[in-house]
Amino acid sequence: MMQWVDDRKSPYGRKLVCTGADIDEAMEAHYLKAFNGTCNVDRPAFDVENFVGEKLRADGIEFEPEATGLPHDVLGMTRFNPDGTRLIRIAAELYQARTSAISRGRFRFTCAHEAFHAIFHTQLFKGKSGRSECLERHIREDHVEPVLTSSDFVEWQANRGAAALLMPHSIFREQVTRLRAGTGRGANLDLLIQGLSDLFEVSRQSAQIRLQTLKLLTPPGDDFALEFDGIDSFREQRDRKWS
Amino acid sequence: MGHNPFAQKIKKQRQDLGLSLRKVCEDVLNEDDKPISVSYLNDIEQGHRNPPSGKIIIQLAKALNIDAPELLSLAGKADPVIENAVTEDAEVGMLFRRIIQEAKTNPSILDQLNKKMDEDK
Repeated sequence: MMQWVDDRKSPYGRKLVCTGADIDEAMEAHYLKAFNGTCNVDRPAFDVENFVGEKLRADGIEFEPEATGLPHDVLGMTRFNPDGTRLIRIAAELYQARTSAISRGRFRFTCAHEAFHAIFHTQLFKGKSGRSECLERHIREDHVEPVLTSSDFVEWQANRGAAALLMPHSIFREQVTRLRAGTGRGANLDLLIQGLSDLFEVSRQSAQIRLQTLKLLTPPGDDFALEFDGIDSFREQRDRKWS
Repeated sequence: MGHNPFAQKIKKQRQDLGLSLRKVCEDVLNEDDKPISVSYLNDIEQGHRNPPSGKIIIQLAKALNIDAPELLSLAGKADPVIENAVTEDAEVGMLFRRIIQEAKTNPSILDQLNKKMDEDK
């Protein structure tokens, strides 16, 4: 359950408390709603540009895809207006490069990241007048779980939310199973990541991090595979109670 | 940074028409003949910026289907046509000032002038 609580340690005076699983669930609901019942599991790539440009307008969220005047290293930002509306701004350079193989994944992830801020972080600047903004310089996609400091919740949540919107848990898991069962791609981790990257139109890095986050790097039953998270797998194996 | 009547008017009208900020910006060009930015219009709607120039206000009025003189009035701006006329021709400026002075003591002068101009058409 996602819930705002007062927190004096947070620079915002409050924080959104939730788990990664809560975020997965919430963003999958947005994913399914955007498809309006016509989601095709074989073509799961999410039209995130249409989502932030059109679908979110009903919630008071506007989109500026070719924002200029941002600091040179800022990819995107979300502006929280005093009247409750929000504006998602994507750097013009990133937007203009969005069709290139190199930048496509970065563009889509940044849009999804800002979408999470705009949808769920509405109370960050509650009661503050003037411009309030979340700026993204270097998005650390692997930062998808909370760490001890209470002030960092904003970015890990937005990263987790972005991944969950572009690669919804249930559909991602289904595709991993299918690719592993199919010929070629699933048998090799590198090909599996490439297959997922192609299907969900995300970077290879995003696909790999999502595999790690959802603990899908190793096939079920392959708990001793040590290539990536072998130590965790071993611990899980050790702690398992056999019936 | 409270809302001003101009900001409230354009925001409400845009929302009533179901237009995005982006869509409105496509139809409004700045001094360099480039579309104004979404964040600029957002700032105007939020009252973070003063109302823009008369040229932009007239385009906004058209894009939002608002009477231009009404929007100019809400912004506290003169119609650019009048501004230019006054600047370019001193006699026009003097005539305007005379009419304004006269209207203060004799408001019916405006009706009389209107009627006269209609008759002369």
